[in-house]
Amino acid sequence: MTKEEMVTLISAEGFEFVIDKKAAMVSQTIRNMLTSPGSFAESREGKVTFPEISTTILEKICQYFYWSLQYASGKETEFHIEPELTLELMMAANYLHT
Amino acid sequence: MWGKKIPTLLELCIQTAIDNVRYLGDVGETDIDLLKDILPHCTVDHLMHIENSTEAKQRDVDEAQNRAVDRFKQRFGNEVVSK
Repeated sequence: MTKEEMVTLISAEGFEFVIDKKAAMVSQTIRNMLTSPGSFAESREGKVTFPEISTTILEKICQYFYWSLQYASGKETEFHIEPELTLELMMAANYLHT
Repeated sequence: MWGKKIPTLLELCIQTAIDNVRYLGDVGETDIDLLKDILPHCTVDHLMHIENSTEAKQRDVDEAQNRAVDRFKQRFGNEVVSK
């Protein structure tokens, strides 16, 4: 896996999630950040910081990205969401157009 | 295989929130646009609990709840609500 195919998503607490660019692009918002024209730090370095998304929530979002790719490839499993994360996750999903 | 739409995370969250609506408490941080799909699934008791648990953005929540209570009244009649 080359460096260009990966992106780093950084949570509010500074945790870094290094995931496939293909997975991150499931989010329309991240896709726009990584592909917008011009030399933005996000697209240049493949790093996106989310100061308002906590580590727990960002981890769940990364899990969703991979689940979504798996679902698209035909493996239709269920995606479990812990009830206590629901509202915060919902806000983040709304922001990320995911 | 490609015909079936992939559920968005937002849709999954809204469904989970509806399934667990009885556990909702403070919704002060949650956008009103997102709550409007969830609150109609509450009973009057749930709405009372949410209202008592939520302090921030109280006005917005009141508005959504009033709408939900109105819909509840239309569906079940005023007697149930006033009990």
